[in-house]
Amino acid sequence: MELMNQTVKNLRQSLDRREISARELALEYLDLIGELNPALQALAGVYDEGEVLACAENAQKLIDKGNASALTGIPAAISDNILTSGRATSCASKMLENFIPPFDADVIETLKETECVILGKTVMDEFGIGHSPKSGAAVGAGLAVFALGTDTGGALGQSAAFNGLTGLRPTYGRVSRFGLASFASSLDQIGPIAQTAEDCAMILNVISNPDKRDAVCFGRNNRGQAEDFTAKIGAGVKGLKIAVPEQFLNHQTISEQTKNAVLDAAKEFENQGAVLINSAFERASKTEMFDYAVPAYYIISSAEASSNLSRYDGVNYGLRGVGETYYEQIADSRGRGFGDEVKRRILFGNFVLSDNNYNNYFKKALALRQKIKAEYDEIFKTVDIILTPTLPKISETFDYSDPASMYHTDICTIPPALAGLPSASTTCGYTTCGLPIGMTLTGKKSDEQTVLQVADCFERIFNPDL
Amino acid sequence: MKLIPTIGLEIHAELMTNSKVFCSCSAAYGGGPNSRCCPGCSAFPGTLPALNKKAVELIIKAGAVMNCEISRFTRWDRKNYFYPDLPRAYQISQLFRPVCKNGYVDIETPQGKTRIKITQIHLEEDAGKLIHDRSPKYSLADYNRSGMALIEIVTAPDFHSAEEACAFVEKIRNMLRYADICDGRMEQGSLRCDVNISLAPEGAPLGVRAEIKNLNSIRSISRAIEYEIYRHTQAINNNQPLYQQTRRFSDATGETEALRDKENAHDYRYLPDPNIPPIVLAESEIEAIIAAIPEMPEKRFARYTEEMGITKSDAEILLESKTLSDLFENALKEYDNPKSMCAFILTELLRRVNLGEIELENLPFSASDIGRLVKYGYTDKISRGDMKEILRGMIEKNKTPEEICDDGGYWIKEDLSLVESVIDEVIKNNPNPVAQYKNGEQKVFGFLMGQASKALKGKATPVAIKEMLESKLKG
Amino acid sequence: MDDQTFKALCDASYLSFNAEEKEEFTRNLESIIDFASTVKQYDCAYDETEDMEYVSLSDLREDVMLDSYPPEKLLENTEPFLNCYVIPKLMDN
Repeated sequence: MELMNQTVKNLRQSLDRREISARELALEYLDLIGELNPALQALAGVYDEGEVLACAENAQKLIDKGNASALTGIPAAISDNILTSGRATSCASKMLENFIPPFDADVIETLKETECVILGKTVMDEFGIGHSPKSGAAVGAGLAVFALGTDTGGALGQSAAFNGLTGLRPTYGRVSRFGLASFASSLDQIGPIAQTAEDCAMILNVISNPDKRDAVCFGRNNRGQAEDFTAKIGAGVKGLKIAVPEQFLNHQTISEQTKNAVLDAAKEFENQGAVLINSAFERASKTEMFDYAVPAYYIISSAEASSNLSRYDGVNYGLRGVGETYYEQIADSRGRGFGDEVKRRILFGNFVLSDNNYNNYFKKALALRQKIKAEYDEIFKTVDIILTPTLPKISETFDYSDPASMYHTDICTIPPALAGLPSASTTCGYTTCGLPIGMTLTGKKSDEQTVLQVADCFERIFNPDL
Repeated sequence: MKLIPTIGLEIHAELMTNSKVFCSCSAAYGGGPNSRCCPGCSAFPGTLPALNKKAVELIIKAGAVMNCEISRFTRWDRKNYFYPDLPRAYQISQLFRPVCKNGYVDIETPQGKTRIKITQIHLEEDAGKLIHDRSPKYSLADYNRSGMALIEIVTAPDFHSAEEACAFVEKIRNMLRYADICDGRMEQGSLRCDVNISLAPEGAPLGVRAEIKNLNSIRSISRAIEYEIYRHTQAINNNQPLYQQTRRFSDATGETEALRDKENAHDYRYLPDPNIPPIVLAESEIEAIIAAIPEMPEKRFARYTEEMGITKSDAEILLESKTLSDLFENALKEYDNPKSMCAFILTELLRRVNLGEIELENLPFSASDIGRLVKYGYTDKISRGDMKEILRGMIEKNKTPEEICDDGGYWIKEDLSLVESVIDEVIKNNPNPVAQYKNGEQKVFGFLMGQASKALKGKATPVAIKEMLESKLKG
Repeated sequence: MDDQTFKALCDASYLSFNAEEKEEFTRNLESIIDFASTVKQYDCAYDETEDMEYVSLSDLREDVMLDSYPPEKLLENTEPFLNCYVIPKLMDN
């Protein structure tokens, strides 16, 4: 069987029907990694063959006993800011180059329990701070069936879009953040990147457990029951109300190709029986929110990052600097341990939190976040899903030294992230050069089911092979 | 020119929880370095705070006993600063929405009664401990204390003397102990005090303020304030400048010295802690917590003096320490004779404490042991004169009163055959009173009892004589 | 951005820069601040009681003490002395 770009769902069937063993599957992926990763560098750390195969053997036992869950025996990659006990977790930072965590993140505990086969840790931007999300690269290259990545301002969706995959940013608090090295705590969320929306639903079923260790994690629905996120997979979109913010699609940052791909997708949804609602964004404030969301995000995330990253002083762990005094030693640790982008955010975060600027910047950004939430609440009174591009335009090069270029990557994904809403990105077309174009479907709080339902509907039409 | 000191206090009190405020590590005092730590209180990446419910309940209790408003909505802020005793480089505290505010506590000094306003009480975490004397080049960090639940009680600048400030701290300490909020052990740092002080002529605006950090005994608070009053007075009278400063008091010299000028003070860059959801408290929850507050000393005082008949001065001594008052009450469960119990505890037991033979906080026997000892003495199981000796035995040999009485032969021996023969003799020699008694004249019992007691003096207890006499007369 | 402001930010961040870096970071920061300043033009108020989803008392962790980590395990990522973390001597203590 051809393993490249297989879905979790298909491999689950093959494993359960004994068409392939967990060990064979793991070996196939290890071979592929050995062959491709040196050039691709999609995985920062690959687990030892012995360890991977031991896990596969355990998975096989579960399968043989009929105790397999959705991810038992499925090869996966994990973002390197999710802590893995006894395995290097660097957060792509020189600061944590040699850091070996003494405990597992909540999601890792869960994956280990179900004997999901972890192959290694993916590359990423330092502490998840940056403009080039990469957690999807390993899945895109076929080095893992799915990856768990982290998302602060849309990285999961963007990374999925870059790689022609499906990425789900769950509702803030859906998945425990325990063991995720924080970037911006009020925004950080763990989610899956996989081949399909259905795979994302299957993965979310496994990783969305309530966890008392994360006070914002709710995990379950309000009746305390585990939710089946695959419930609406295959249900189509008939009767669903989908908002298409047409004015926003004319925003200067959005390319013609992207706009057309999204509008075509909208038309397809209409063909499938969805109701397109264009009026939801008629009021200027609704379109405007995309603009002010970006600086508000930049302020809040940097402020929280400046505080979250203060623990990295090289004393308890991490790169240990040298210096005669406490200040000199810590400044040396941080000077050599952090990259420039991280330093910029720390400085900026401390700027917006300082006495003189708190009200004008930080508090204002918090106020704007509330305003964005209120705008969404109003929009969702009349619609089920909001359809936008994932990336305003598809390009391989951006000028990241210009902060205004943030608009050019993050303007679509930041508003739902700020509001804590679930959103999924899936491929809706290709550029003339053949690069995938992603669209983002944003749903109501805790309504991952509908988000995945709509993404799944499109995928079945757009890519019937999967 | 008369200068008036104006003083405000910030009291830090460690809460009596089993676990730390944001993780499940032990909140006990001491322990080997870093033996009461986890990745959470050691600030590892990926760890998150999980707020301790008991800590919130205890601060609500503290607010209630100090007459504060309890906020229905409360949330947590991060106070950001680098210091090696603070591994996350931020302290989780409450700036904008503390649990308690606008309270007051009345104090009494020889100058009279004063009402001290409490600005706010907030919940926060303690920092770790730094050790400086193990190496000439390095300081060492031990995080056992890191993350212990702490409340900070902030008063208005309502004090004008060291005496008032000390009376307040003593009162607060006692209240916290009675309400089981904080053990108040200043020598272990579970209660510490910062003093803000300035001096100015009467009616003039407040003078330049100094803050004295981390005073850990009532005596240091008093001495530090007295020193500051002296220092400020000297400076003002000699037209020397004073600076807004953080200062430290030295027990050795009795003086304070500057730590840092406020000009270089930190901008703490507070931000709401995104990892701790705000709490909305229901009225019923607050009521239930307040209802569970143990009896405060004022109430006990009324009960001791009015119901138990203990003198006011004795009641005051018993109530000075919750440990002593609790001991008294628990001992009463064995033998409900408050006056005798109080007398024995205040004379015999406290004497041992004052002699340094035992510590009140660490007694080698239980309240029930004391209760039984007093019971034996006052029910003639032992001679009252021996109680002192038995107590000493209990202290020295670490044994129960029964064991000491067995070992030392303190039990009053009841030679029942002797009692019987004596009583038989009395009955034989007093036929008329016996006949009167049998005809229902109860009052002659006392005469017969007296005859028997006289003959048995020191050889049997009145109870034994009475029992035997009654049974003989009935038979 | 004046030198004093930049220095205050560096002090707060425990970061230090040489002259060349300083020039570059100052320029970067100015441009970021400029970009972020657009938030000032929006008129909206912050309600701190509505910022995060709140919980009730019963949602909090029960006060149960659990075993701590063995110190050796916590100290694996550093070079401890007497089971303590080591820092340069602090002078103000």
